[in-house]
Amino acid sequence: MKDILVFNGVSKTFPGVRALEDVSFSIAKGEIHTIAGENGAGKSTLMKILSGWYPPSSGEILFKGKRISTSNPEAALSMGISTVYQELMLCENMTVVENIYLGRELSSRKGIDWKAMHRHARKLLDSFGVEISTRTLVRNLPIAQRQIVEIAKAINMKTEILILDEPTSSLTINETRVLFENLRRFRETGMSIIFISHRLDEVFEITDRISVLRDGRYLGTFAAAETTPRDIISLIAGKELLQEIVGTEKLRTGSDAEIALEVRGLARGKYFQDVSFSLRRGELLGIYGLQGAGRTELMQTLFGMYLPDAGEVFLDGKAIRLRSPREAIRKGFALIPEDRRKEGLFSNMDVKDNIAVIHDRRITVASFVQNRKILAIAREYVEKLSIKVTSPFQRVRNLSGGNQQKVIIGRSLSTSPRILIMDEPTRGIDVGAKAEIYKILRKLKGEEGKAILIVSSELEEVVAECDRVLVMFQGRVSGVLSGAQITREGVLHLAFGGSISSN
Amino acid sequence: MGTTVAENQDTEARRSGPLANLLKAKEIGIFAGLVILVIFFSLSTSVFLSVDNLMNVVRQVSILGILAVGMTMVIVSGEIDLSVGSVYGMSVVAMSVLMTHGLPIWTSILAALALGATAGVVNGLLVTRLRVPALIVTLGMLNMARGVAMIINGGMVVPLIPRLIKDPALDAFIFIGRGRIMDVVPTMSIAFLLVLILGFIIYQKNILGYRMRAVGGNPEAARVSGISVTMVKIAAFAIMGFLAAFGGIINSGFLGNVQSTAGQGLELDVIAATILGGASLNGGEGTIVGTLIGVLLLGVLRNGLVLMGVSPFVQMVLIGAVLIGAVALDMRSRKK
Repeated sequence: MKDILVFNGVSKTFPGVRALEDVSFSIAKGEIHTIAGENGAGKSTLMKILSGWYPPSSGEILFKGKRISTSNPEAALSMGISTVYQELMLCENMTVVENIYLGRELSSRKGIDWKAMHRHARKLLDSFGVEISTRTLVRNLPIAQRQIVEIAKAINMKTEILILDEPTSSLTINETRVLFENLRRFRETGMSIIFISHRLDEVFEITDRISVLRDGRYLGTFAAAETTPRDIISLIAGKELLQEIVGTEKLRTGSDAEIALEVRGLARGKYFQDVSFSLRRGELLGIYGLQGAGRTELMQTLFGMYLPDAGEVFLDGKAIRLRSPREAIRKGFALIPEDRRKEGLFSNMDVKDNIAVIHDRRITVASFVQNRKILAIAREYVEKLSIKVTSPFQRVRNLSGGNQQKVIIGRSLSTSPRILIMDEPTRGIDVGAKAEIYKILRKLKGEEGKAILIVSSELEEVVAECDRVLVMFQGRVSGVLSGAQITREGVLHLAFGGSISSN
Repeated sequence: MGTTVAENQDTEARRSGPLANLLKAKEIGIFAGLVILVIFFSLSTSVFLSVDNLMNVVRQVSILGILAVGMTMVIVSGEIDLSVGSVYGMSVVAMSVLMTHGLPIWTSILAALALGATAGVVNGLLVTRLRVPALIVTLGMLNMARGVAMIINGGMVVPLIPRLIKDPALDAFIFIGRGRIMDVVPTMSIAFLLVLILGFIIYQKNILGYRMRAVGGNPEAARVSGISVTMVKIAAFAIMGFLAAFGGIINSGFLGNVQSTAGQGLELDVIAATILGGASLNGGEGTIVGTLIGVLLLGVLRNGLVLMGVSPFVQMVLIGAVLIGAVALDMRSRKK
């Protein structure tokens, strides 16, 4: 295979930080090449240099033998290097076809040639095997389809190198499979794909080679066929972390603990119907389902963000009806929201305020805010959760994803909740931070007897960590698994609409 | 983790030194701008640095400043209020009508304050309950409140004189607007100072201000954290409306009359001063001290240009340029 792209001693320093140090490796034409590493290992920095956001401090990148000397994203695009970022960059107010041709509209003598654009876009989308109308506003598309639009847009640019940053983090298994089929198809045409993902099981399914970065340094490139996820993880983490994630002996809680939360026949609109389950003290109940199965909406309803249309919720045996998150918090609920940036972080505030903001009486005297009290709460949780900060006065936007998530968890725990609802608590954070968060969860249910509901799309985690797993399919509970029933296959069977009896 | 905690406290101690705090304060840039302007005008005109003139500046910015304190809270909460000039006008017109119809002056003032606050609450309710953007709601209120002012007094000028207003407290009322403490410090500026102090306490010390920053920073996260976004925003608009009326009342004492056009166009200066002071239209960022500096900067610039004999038309161009330039500089420094 011929190398299309060569990183040659690339280094990048930011004020006070050495993000990349002497990174050298190459990408072959027509391969899928994964770059693996923890958050902060330098993957994003390397990709940003490649896609022209900023120049390297030293070293060079050779593209088809020629040195890339520009540092602007448009130039990189026109050379044939396209990036699909984790946070999709589409104009939500425009239609699918407008997005695909944004800035490169086809024209005829009569002006913009909409007919041709629709025709080509249609062909492009059809090749992905999805039913998306080219006239739909992007705003009205689910995330998975938006991503397909974004990839279609990238492909439409005569791309030779396609960079995909965490493309599967918001996709369901089915959607991921479709994506992978397409990536393989692109590879056939000679396109090189650089793939960044935290999900190593997926990486091994699709990738040809894996390059590992740690702390800005390049550790080597390995052929996927000749290595194992376990080897890569120990390289990424620098220590044997895998044990922490999946290897621990399951501590399944018995069924003798008292029931903390009971839900009977809960329903809301088109999102979910007739949902019933119970949650015991000291139990970790996983909620699994494909995107659109109604998991997030169920959690939001339990937390008082929306009123259910029907059904009852019992807290410690007493019927409750929550009309606002405020009320839910007072009753002992806590929610770690799905979207960290949109619903979790106050990026204008520092770490201490991000933790303490949920309180009123505990941080005030006669309604006046006491910094001393805020600091006391913040310090307690920074320590308890080992949040890595330079000081409680550090701005949260400067923290890594894992530490940001811990700040939000700290905020929720500081209200001493009895029911902890966590929506995708490990999405987009690195292996080490994931392991730590699960360690915290185990401690919370074991030592403190908290009842925990966890929504997760990470099948491995669900299988490894949960005492019971409730699986949803199209807004309904398709089954609850416990003990030895919890297997990858069992969970997936239910998630795709199977039932327990036929299992 | 033991060592890290110790290190943390160490860096904290170093960071919270008074000088270090001062230098890293967000207001330092705009404050430097103010100092440069003061030095420039002191050197280029002989009058600028006199006590008389400085007191004049302080008086001229008082009304603007009173409103800007409220605007800071609204903008930090992630909203904007274009209706302040009209609410100001409507409140003083209502006050003058009550006064000339024989109501005691203090009662009329209270009624005007209540009217201003009510207009603010209505703004807040429309924004939070009907989810109409604040730009639209307050643009509507700008027209409605001005219309009400015109309807009430038919576009007349109402002089606040003993022949029309029998209340003996009229002298005291005029003094609050026009007087000087020990013949030097304008009473109007004392009112501004009081508003500044109260604003500082509410915004920077009270849980309400803390919540405004949270709500403006991320309304979704605030909701999930059990904060009533609706109540916080309504409170910000209510305080704004109250202060608009308050500013209007003080200024009508100074002018000695009330017109239905009172406060027209004031909203633009108020927003400009607040933004100059570092408040971000995205919400979540802004301080009372910053706003004070923004208000002073605008006042010094106007006063200095007048003293230098710059035409009012050129002044408008310069002030506009300063506003854009200051925000551009701020954006650049934030990027780094």
